[in-house]
Amino acid sequence: MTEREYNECVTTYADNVYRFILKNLRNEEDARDVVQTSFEKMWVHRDEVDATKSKSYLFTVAYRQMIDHIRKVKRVQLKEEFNEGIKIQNKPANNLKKILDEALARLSETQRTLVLLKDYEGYSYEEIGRITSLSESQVKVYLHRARVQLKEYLVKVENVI
Amino acid sequence: MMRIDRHNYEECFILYWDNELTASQKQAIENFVKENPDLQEEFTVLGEARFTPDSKIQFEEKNFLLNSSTINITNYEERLLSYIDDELNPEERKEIERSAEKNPLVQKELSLLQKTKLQPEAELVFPGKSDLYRTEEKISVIRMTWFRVAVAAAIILITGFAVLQLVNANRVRDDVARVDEAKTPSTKSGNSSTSSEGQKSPDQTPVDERTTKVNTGDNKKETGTNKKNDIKPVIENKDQQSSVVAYQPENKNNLPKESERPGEIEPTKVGNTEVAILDKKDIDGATAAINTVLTDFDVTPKDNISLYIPEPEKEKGGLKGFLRKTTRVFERRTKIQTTTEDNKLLVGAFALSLK
Repeated sequence: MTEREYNECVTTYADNVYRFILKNLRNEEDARDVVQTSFEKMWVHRDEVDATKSKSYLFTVAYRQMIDHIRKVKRVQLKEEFNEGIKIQNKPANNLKKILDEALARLSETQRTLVLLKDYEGYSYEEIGRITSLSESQVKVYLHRARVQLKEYLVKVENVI
Repeated sequence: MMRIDRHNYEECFILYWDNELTASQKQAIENFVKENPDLQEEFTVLGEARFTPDSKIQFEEKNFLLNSSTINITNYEERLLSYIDDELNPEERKEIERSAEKNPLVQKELSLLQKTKLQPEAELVFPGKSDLYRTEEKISVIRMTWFRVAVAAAIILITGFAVLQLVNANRVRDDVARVDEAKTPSTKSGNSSTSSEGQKSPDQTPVDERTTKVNTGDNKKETGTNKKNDIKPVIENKDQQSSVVAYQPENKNNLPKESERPGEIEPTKVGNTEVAILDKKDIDGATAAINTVLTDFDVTPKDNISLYIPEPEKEKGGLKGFLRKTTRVFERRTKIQTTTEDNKLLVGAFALSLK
């Protein structure tokens, strides 16, 4: 990967990675840190990175960075996460997008990651498996379960409204 | 069986209509109703309050229940999820779409699942993108073949020589200017001598005396302009000759190729020839006519200056042009930019790698 290819990668994918991480972490600063570190890693290892697979590489690195970050944060602020869950339940839901965001927040980390990689980036089960170090069938099962949960949440909330 | 009487007939009637009694029991009930006509109506109403199945109501999606079809009650959710995730081949996709058209249950489920699909938010943009861009800090290495090295060496030599020439030319010019400066006051003093004689330096007195003589003789003659031009150099050339002679040896020390530098030599040459002509004229004895013009002394210093000023300019331009040309040729031949993208001139900081 050349310097130019790296910079093109920044132009093309920085926003995508940022969205993916931000939706998972729900904290702009943390998301920015993760994205920055990911690009730094890619720059350092640019000689080993195949330019055609730069996006996958970037998402894999960012995903690992994010998991590391979550583990670190979890050890420190377990209580805050719990509160957030309650907050979401109390929030009035106005439109589908909002409801979906709430539903997404209620998924497990893995499920959320899978849904985002599928819906935002359109990765196949196989590609998602490579990024998250899961088998293709695991991805499929987790993803389907997540989707059904999202659906049930939608139905429930719609009935309430 | 219990005995039927007017106290328990209702229960017996229900059992009758619910078809829970044997044939003989049913017969006993029927006989009882006949015996008690006032209970006939109640017996009939109970019989009418039963439901019969509506044969018009049919389950239309019978096929959906058959395991033989590709999308059925057991697999439809998984198929729909795969459809949502875009993991089906075109044929399977079509099948799902067809099934959704026919089957409201599938249709409903599909639209619900489609709602769960998240859309990336374009307004979410990474804020510090400019920090992520990088440039490699590396010294640009120019690959050079022996031929290119030779060209570069030649250019360095030529440039060096040209600079040397330029420096020398400047020095010579300075010398000439100095000589001129030294000379012009003397002519000026000659000029002033028209009004006051006797203050001359010993070697200039003959000339000055001559001019003063002429001055008194032909003051009225204004038409002799042609001759004026011819004569001016007399003094000038005589002075110049001496001055040129004076610095010529110096010149030769600095510049061996004097003959290649016409700009510098021109004045002496012209001077020499003109001096020769003038000498002839002097011999011809046209002294009176010529000397008349010598009275206009104020012209000579001007001409003196104009002889030298343009020459160095010409020389400088030629050198500059030559340097520019060599640079251009070098750039074209080697395809090496002498400036970077941001207009910085690269001077002397290149590495050579020899093949």
